Amino acid sequence: MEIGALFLVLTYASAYSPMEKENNLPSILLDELTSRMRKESEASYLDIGSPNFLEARSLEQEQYDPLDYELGDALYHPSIRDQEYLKHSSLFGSMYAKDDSAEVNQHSDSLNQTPLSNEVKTKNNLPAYCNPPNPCPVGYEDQEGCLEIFSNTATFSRRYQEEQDCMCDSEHMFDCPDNAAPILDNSIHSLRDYQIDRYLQKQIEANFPNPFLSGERLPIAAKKGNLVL
Amino acid sequence: MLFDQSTKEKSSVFQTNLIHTAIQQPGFLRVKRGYKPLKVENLVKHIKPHNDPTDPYFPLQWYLKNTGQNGGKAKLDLNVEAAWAQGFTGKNITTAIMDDGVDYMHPDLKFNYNAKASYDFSSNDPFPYPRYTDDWFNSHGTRCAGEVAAARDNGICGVGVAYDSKIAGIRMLDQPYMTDLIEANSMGHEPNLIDIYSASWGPTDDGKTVDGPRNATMRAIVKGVNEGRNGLGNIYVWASGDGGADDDCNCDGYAASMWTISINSAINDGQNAHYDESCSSTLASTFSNGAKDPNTGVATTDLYGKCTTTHSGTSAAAPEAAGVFALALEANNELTWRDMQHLTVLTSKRNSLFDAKRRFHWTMNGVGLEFNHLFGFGVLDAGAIVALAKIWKSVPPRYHCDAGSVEGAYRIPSRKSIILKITTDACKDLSTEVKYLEHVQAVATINATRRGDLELFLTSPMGTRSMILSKRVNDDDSKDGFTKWPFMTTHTWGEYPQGTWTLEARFSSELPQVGFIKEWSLMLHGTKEPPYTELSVLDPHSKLAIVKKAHENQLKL
Repeated sequence: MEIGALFLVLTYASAYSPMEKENNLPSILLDELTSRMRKESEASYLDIGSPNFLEARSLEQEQYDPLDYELGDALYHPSIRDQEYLKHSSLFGSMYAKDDSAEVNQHSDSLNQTPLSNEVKTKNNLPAYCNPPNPCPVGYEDQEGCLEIFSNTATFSRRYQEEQDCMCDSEHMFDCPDNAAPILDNSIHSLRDYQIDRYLQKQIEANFPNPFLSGERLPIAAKKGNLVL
Repeated sequence: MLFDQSTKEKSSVFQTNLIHTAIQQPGFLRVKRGYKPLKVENLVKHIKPHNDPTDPYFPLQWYLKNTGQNGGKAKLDLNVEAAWAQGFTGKNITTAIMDDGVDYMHPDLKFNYNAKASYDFSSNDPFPYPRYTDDWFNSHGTRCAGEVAAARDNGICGVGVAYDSKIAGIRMLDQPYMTDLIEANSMGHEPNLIDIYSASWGPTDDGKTVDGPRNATMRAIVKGVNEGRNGLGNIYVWASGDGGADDDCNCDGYAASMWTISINSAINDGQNAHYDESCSSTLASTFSNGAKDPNTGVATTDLYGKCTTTHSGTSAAAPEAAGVFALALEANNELTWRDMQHLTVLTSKRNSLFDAKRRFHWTMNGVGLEFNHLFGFGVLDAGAIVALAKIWKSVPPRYHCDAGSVEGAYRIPSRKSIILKITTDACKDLSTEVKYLEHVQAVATINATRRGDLELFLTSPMGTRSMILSKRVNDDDSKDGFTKWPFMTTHTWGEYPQGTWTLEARFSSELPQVGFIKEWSLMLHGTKEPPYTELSVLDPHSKLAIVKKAHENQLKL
């Protein structure tokens, strides 16, 4: 038993003080560690089965074993040093309280790329503008879902977006077509390229509806620097 | 006792028996701080000879090399050439531009584009190419990207601050409404591939909004600093805002966060820009437009393969800072998110930055660090930050001390100030003791008949006074007030927190107003050990030397 305890102390020391200077390590630190360790084992810290406690965790890991940064859980952490807590931005508390239940349900898995269950996807989806083209970056091919046939011009993007049936951005388009009137712009036909059409259809099928466009509408995202010339 | 060099006087001194010993004091040079031009030659021994980039827009990039073009002040720039000369150009560092997309097909950007780390949250696909609008509104992200990583010597546009670094595009601003999910996923996107996140957005700068990150976003930021970059913490760079003198960036919960480095801007002659907001959470400044000469905007890449000379606002300032941090990370890739803030504090320069309206002066805090309410600790100096990053030793562990609180209903009178005090031992003898400060938060719940007329000041035990809330003429709120709002100050960086802190609240108003402070609690964040003991001082006039000396002297007491 005593050997076991000593072993724990040592692993604790090496795990927690990677940056501690060597000459500080002796008796004082050891005493401190033993007493802290005693406290923490009472708090069942040792029951937590994650071997890589101090290492960076991937988002995948977070999915299965979410780490809680609220101060109340500090006890379960090996040490409070070098760890930041949500509580220190008390905005969290007040905003959290205000949120409706749908939002609360989402937040635990909100950090994954495709986190939302189907029922959330279908309800509550906010409006979106047209999708811009997705040209292939250097080193990418069309198999990766991007456009190889592409010209980096305003005209190309405009025509590409005109192919889509989507909400017109009246703030930044000089004239938005009347919803009832059919589109009579000839430029569309000049771009009627079979490949692009097919690509567009595929893209929209794959990415719609956009799961990120759900939840409360925030009064945010003023793009800074537009009115300061 | 001071003598001149004459031995005659020295010998005469000994004629009286009262004097025991006399020491000849040699004369030495005292240099005025802050105005000393950085000599890279003093910091690094073998500098390769360097030429200016040949890119056609480089002569217009006064923020990189200010030769006094267009009425600017020569040498008032980011001092990037000094960093480049040391061999640092941002290699293997990725900065994510969280914005309206990036023209990653731009010939000046395409080879510096990190496609793997990019994403388009506005249309849910991996390719953040900007959406066309008739007014070319969505050029913002492309412009920011060019400031960081436009390629060098390729005959196109100008050159980025870290021209060998990579940029990732995160398209997240371009939909009719913002959601918490978009923000959270953007700020938590690929935290081990992305080193630095640059943001030029936030709550509306209308001078009456008090808002900040919602819960998923807040979680993403905390996770980013705790776990990103394989545990070293992501660097979040924030534009402090374009609301002008009528707004206060402490009311923007993103800029005011401890976990973001909030950047303000100065124009080409050292004045603050007319659109600059100010707040005590600003850490440092870079450059942007605003001089009378219209050719003093920020020259960078533009949408559809073009170039521009008129990028503007504090949103142009934040990416410059991101570029400088990319240089520092190349110099030392072991820097934590806190190391970066310490480096920023220690190497930013007062230079010749000044408040055009003479409201805010440069002040020295309790350990000799000069700060200004508008500019934080001054303008970033790429040469200096890189030189110090190279020899940097990671700062000791950080602790969070709940230093106490005042609760009740304290009336703020119409014409006078109310002063509340918290006396603290800064968690002495507890596991959370803080002896050397980093950030300080005054978390307050206050209401007022007119919120915008309220002014708040926090004074440290060492006498440093931070204006943690300034008057906002347009804010006519009388209902919400502030609820547990964390007002943050960086001005007390390096100070010792033990003693009495005061919060002063008052109205700046023509009409009679009334308000109540319901709660004020003080959170101290910093280290138990002196932060710079392991660092060697290469330059005796540097800020590092001054603070380190102050800390050593205090330990002797």
